[in-house]
Amino acid sequence: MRRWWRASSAAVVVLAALAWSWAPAVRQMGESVRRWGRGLTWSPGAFWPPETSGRFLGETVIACVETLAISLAGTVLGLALAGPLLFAATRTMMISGAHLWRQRVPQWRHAAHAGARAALAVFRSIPELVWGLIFVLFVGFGAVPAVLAIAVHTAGVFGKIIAELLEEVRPEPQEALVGCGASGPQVFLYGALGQAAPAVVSYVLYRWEVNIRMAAIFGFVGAGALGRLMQERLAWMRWPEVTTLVAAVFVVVLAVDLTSAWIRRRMV
Amino acid sequence: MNRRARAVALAAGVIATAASFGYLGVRAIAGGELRLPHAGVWRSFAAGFEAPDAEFWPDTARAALETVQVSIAGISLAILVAIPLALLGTATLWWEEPFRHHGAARAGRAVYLCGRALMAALRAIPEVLWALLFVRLLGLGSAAGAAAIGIAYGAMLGKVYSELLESTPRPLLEALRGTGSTAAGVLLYGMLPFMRGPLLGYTLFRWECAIRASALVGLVGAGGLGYRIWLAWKYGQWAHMAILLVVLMLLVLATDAISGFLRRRLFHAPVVARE
Repeated sequence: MRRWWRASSAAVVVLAALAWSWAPAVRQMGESVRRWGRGLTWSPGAFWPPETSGRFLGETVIACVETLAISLAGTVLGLALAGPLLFAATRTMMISGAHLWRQRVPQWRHAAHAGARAALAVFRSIPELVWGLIFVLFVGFGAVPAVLAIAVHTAGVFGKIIAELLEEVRPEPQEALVGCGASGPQVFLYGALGQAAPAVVSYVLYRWEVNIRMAAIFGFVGAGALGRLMQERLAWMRWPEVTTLVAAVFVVVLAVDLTSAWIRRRMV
Repeated sequence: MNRRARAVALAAGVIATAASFGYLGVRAIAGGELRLPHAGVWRSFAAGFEAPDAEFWPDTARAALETVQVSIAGISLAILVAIPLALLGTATLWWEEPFRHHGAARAGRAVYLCGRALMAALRAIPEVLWALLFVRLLGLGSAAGAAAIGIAYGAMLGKVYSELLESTPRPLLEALRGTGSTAAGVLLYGMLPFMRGPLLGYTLFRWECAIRASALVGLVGAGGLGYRIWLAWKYGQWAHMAILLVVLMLLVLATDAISGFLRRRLFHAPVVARE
């Protein structure tokens, strides 16, 4: 009886949530269908065949290269930004590991740890595209705001995940290093980073896969490469060119996924 | 990987990165698009901080609800898309033991490969790109956002579902086979009950991500907080934009908390930390 009651109340809640969520979308679909009745601005056939003129293909290839460059530069710059914050954001280094050297943890260490964590949380919680909007204001259009936006968001994610990986390593090597007279940064480099390195590399590669997808869609704010072409062609309703661009995104993303999977497989 | 191969890979990575920075830097400077932040930008930025009027708050609340609506509609559509894809992509059902001996293994394998390839193809197109397309086809608003999340997340869910179904312990499936169960029977009475917790837990985790995604697709015109953020940016209302960003952050934190609670209490599923 109790089970039945629980299942049926859960079903009611889920159905109510679904009905509430779908209502505006269904209403909007109704309007779209009515609009289509008065004549379409597009048809499925309009997307085929894809545009294959040499000039457009050349433009697309350049945009692909630029998209790849943005994703790579953004990921590496994100790692570089996260680097200085990592030591402070790793609890075992900053606070719980301090007993290796001295008894009491000074107050500034707690403050630095909390500060680094808070900064990383802000970097992470604002989506890449919104960072893009902000950077466009200050550095203008083009690839640079896209790189900066991806880098800042990625730094926030890297800071959190890599700090967690560093906190999970075995403590014995670090204690041995301290016993040999190693300093804090030396323990960090050789005791923690060395152990966590395979997991860190694997996560950096995964993030590159995420960032290539991001780099491909940056563009509606005027930042970035493939996304910008896409935005233009959609606005001009050049459907065959849109098909070509979607295919280009597909190829670039797949290339990065395969490269990253290959490196990861060779590494372990 | 031996020492030499690692050195080669590292060198290739360093060269590719340096080339990327160099190429983008040269293009940005030669193209004349890059502009360094100057005093004028800061002044106009500072001037855009005006207090929101009375209408702003109810509109923000409506936008936040819209974002939640798009995420729920999107994830429910994603589940509908994921189920057939997951069934196609589950090797155990098509060609691996214990079904290998009955029927054509080769045809089964072909079905499986098609399922996997379809999911990989759908996953390769990011959700914001789907949203850009659907906004053009369906018009501005939440239907485009729900459709975009439905397709992109459907492929992601499908992949994880099929991996979870494949990881059901073999003895369980073989016992069912031994008592004369068909593939459908093995699925319904073996895989699904056994994997119920992880399946529901992962779906909830994806719903958390869908909230973020629904804000992102909103930026390109699919409604909700994302669209309001974009409008505030367009009209230079920085105070509005800052408030909307804080609301988005709170919304994301709240969903994380709710979904984490449900996952721990109801499904006893481990909290998925990464990916």
